[in-house]
Amino acid sequence: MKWYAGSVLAGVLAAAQAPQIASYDIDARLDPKTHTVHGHEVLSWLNDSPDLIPELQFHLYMNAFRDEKSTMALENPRVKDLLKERNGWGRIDIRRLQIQGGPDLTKQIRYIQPDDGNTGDRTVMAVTLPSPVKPGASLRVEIDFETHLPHATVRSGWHGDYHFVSQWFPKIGVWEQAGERYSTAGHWNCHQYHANSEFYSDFGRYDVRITVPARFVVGATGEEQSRTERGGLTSYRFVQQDVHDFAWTASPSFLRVERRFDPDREVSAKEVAQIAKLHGIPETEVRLEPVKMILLIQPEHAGQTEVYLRALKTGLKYFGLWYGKYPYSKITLVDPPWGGGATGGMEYPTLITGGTNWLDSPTDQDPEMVTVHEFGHQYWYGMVANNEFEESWLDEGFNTYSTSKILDRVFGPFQPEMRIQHIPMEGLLGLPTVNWDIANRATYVSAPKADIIVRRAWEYDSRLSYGLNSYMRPGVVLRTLENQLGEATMARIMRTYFQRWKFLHPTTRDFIQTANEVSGQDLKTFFDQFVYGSDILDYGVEQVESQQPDEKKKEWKSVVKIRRYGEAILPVDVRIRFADGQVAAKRWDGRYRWVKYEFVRPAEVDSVEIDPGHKILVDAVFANNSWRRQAAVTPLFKWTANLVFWAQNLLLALASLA
Amino acid sequence: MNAYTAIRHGAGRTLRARRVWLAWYVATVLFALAAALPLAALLARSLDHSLWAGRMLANFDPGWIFETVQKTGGGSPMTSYLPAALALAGGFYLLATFLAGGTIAAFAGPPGPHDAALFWGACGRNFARLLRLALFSAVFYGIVIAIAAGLEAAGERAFRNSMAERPVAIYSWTRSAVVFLLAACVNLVFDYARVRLVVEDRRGAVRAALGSFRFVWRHFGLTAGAYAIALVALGVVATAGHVIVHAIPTTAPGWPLLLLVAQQAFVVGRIGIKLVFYATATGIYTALKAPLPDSRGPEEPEAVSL
Repeated sequence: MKWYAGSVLAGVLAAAQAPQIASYDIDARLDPKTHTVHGHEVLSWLNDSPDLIPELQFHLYMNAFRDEKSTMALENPRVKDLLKERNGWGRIDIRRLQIQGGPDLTKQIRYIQPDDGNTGDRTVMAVTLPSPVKPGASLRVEIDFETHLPHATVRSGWHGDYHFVSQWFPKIGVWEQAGERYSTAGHWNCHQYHANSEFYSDFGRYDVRITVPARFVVGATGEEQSRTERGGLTSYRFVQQDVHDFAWTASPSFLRVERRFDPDREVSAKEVAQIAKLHGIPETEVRLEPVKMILLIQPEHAGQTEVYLRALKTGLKYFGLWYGKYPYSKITLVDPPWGGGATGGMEYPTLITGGTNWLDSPTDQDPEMVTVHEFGHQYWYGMVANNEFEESWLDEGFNTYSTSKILDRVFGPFQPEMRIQHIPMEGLLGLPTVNWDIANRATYVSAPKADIIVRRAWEYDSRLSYGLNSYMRPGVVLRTLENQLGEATMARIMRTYFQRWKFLHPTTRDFIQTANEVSGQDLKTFFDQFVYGSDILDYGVEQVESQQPDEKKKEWKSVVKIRRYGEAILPVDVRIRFADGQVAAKRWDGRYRWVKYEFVRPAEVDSVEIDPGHKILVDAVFANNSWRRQAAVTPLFKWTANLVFWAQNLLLALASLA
Repeated sequence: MNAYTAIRHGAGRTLRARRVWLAWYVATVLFALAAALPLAALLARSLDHSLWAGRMLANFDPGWIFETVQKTGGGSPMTSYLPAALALAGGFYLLATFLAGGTIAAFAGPPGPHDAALFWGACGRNFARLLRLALFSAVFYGIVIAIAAGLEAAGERAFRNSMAERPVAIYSWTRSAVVFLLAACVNLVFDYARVRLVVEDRRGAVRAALGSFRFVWRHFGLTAGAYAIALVALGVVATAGHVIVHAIPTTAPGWPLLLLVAQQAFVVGRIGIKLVFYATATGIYTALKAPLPDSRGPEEPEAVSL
């Protein structure tokens, strides 16, 4: 076990900073005409395992955009088509690789394909070392590289003179020793770059010097240390420790806005006291720190500056209060330009990208949602650094759950976005408003059995299933868990999990262990059904009968039958309301296929409702969850009238051609 | 005669043609019911005794759509519904073409109550020729669609490196306006071609279209002006209808009935505008038609007799 990886030690050392496994010193120069980054990298890498390590493995993510043979291009032909159409291919070339004080290993470089054996893919590079790295030893690797950025297609790239430079440098994989995560023997965890996968890396310190033409405005991971101008070029130096990646952006068009998140203004003493009381911790532990907020926004979106900043402050406040202080001194929010949207909605340590439109609608929660969500990744991905290739739900799903709670609390319901000819139409068309629980559930029930949640990102049935099972379905599952355990218990689980696993690499198993421990319950069945399984939960009212055997006596015999149509089981409340206003409340364990309740009452059954508190969001069919004696005449009349009306209008539009 | 007086005259004729109005309204109601009832039945099967129906009354939950599609076997309900809906739309187009013949004939005749037998007779007599004209007009609508696609492709090329959405949006609006105007011109020409076919009892679709083009060209201010007034009236009715339908509070007594009445009043208004335009175009054509020596060749024998 690594010294920091065991759950017990992790709890003890929760306040410790990240283990410095992989630190980088990089010199990078951008040539904006060719969209090329010329780089020199010195990697300091620590073998903190008990293993002798004979080779190193690196991610070369930009080779996903090299040609049509890459795994990325094969898995997502749309990427290939876009790059082809724009001639926007990208790649990374290694010019020199050398162990400091050792031989030049450039000729030893070989490309491996640990996931799919596709020899056309060059996104993972392996280098055999002259001698294995001993346990506890470090080595320094010097690499000269040239990154040709692709046109903005998937997360990284350029559009016009906007450059978003991410996954851009040779990045070492993670050596997982036996006992770490799911490993039974020491091995490299260094996956290829897939269409549906994100990232996994060790923490360290990044010291990066970026040189660009002087007219460019730059934003990057970390704090800016210095800025020097010479010969029409400006060199910036950014430093950040306790992070596992580094991204940057450069464009002459950005408007730069700098503000301060002031916790004394944003967070009340009452809110601090409530959180401290909930978790039984001192208020000093809850109080947040000031954070510098940098917004790099497109000129045509300048009117949305305050919208972006309010959302960013909301993220800083609630993630900080609920899970723990944001430990870095700054956060940069990048607003991509029109045409560069593929780089939007992304997260990197202390740097995130948003996304909005020229004409913004105040009711669609865009860019609020994307800003809060990407900021949330500073916690679920940035600090709690799960393996996104293998368990994407631990960051995307946790973040969907957290983001949805925050958005519903702060911004309220929203209207799903609908744009026609660049004009937001949702308000004009009077689309229904939804909260995020409803929105997440609506997506989940569209394909509830497509896959299980815990699955390697590229092995889901489809891109849609990857999204559904990584984002919305976990959001629904975690919300249901919260409803089962109570908001306070869930809040304690989430905070404990964050505090215990920040700057580490947890697994689903670790979260379940934390949830069991904090709740004092064995939640195995819950997670087996809804995280490791694809069975659906569907309770329904099957039969309701009320009879008055003797009309002279005011006595009704009623039978209510509830059935479990799906395979999954959760205990559920049932509420039976009688015509005289009396209510019977029942709790069913759901284990058998059905349950029958019989009553002898002075009135007939008026309505029956399964899960009246709407706690079980994973129920795949809400329509059969209730029954009422009177048919729903008014709603059906209204919807039929609407359907006829819409059909008449479509027909009349057609008739204008006749 | 100017566009305003022509429209006024057309409105007067339309108000006296209540049975024509009724025929069009009944046609839309029947076809709309046929299209809507399968979906309404789906709603009823799923929610007729569910408390969820009442809760979704004010604000529909999109989750119902997805769970219902799932429960009824994935996409299968929609895949079977869509062809039926397209067939209904096609059927309505044929019916509208059928009714157009009688409608124009009614407006071309003397003012006053219309004889039902004459109306239906004109519907039948003109159906085949109007259908041929509709098929011919498809070529011109196709050209407009091709121009729209060309303009879109040109825009994509011109703005592919744009870093701002605003010029892209402005181009897109301009393109839509141009395409709309072209489509309106085609629509206008073929509207008068329909009038010409019926009024002059002709069968040649191509000749009628060419003659109509010349007629519209000669009297562009009047024909386009009347068309524009009808479009503006449609916009006003649509806006008013949208506002009224959404302003009905769900707390008002009998509000579902009010909603139905408001919606159907809007539909009746929309049909009225269509009829006003037919009446106006017929009035303009009959008032201004001049002998066109090159446009009246020998006629073929009557091919369709209903």
